[in-house]
Amino acid sequence: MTEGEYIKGLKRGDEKVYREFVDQYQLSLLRLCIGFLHDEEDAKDIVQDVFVEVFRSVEKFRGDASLSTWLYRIAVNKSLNQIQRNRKRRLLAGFNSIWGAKKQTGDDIPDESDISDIDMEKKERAKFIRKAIDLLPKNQRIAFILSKYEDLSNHDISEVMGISLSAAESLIHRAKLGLQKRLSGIYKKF
Amino acid sequence: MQSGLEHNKLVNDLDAVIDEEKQIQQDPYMFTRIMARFENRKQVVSNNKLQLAFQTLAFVVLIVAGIYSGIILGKNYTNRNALSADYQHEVYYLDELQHENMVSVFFSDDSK
Repeated sequence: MTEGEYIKGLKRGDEKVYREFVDQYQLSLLRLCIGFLHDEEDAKDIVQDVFVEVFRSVEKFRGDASLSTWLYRIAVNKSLNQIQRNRKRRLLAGFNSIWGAKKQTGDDIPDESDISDIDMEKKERAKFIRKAIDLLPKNQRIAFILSKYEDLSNHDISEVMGISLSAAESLIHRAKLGLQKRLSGIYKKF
Repeated sequence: MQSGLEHNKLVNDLDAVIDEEKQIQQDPYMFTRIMARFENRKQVVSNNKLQLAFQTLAFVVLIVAGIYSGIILGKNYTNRNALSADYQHEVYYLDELQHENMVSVFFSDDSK
């Protein structure tokens, strides 16, 4: 099914088209959202939100950009909003733990003897890498995630972000340099 | 300065982490969940519209009732006004002529 056919079907409210549309784009959006959120459940939640938003507002879709570009834009915006919400939630949880509202039980703590040193080191590295991606400036992060997680071409990235091709290339290049710089310091510790 | 080996390791690890995250599987219940959310939102929107209509109606009724009761109260109050003709009429019949002269009150000798 082409994008035009999808748009017509969605505007008609055809449930069969809805289903096919979800099957077609679900995985791409999940990969994109997990790049921002690093959490499967959060990513699934956001992808659901994206599709609901598309079904709700497809009537207003003028077709200035391609359907996939529109989808990616919604997904990026919703993921960034979710990051903000998570940040606030963590802050509140921090306050709660200071006030002793939640006491951690022994069951919540993983038994570290079950995890080997190599696995621990691998996990730590993965955590640092994710953190380094999260610490990139917003535009660099968006460009990097679209490039690495969704394998979009620089041209497509420029379309999604509404910037020129050279600006997209520059953002990806600077993101890679930033990551190298940030991670090389950490790697020396290992 | 970062060595080539270190750089390669870093790139490999970065790719490995990204590839691991990209292994996320399709959710078979995604469509059902989306439709449930979509229907729920539609219902919420229509409920909100109904609620808004009721709120507006209630607000208009309250305003009209307020204005009407204001007019009624205003009318009743005018009938018992101190400046009304009836009250002035009663004041007019007080026999002021029999009252003591002010001058005589001030100069009267109470000590006697």
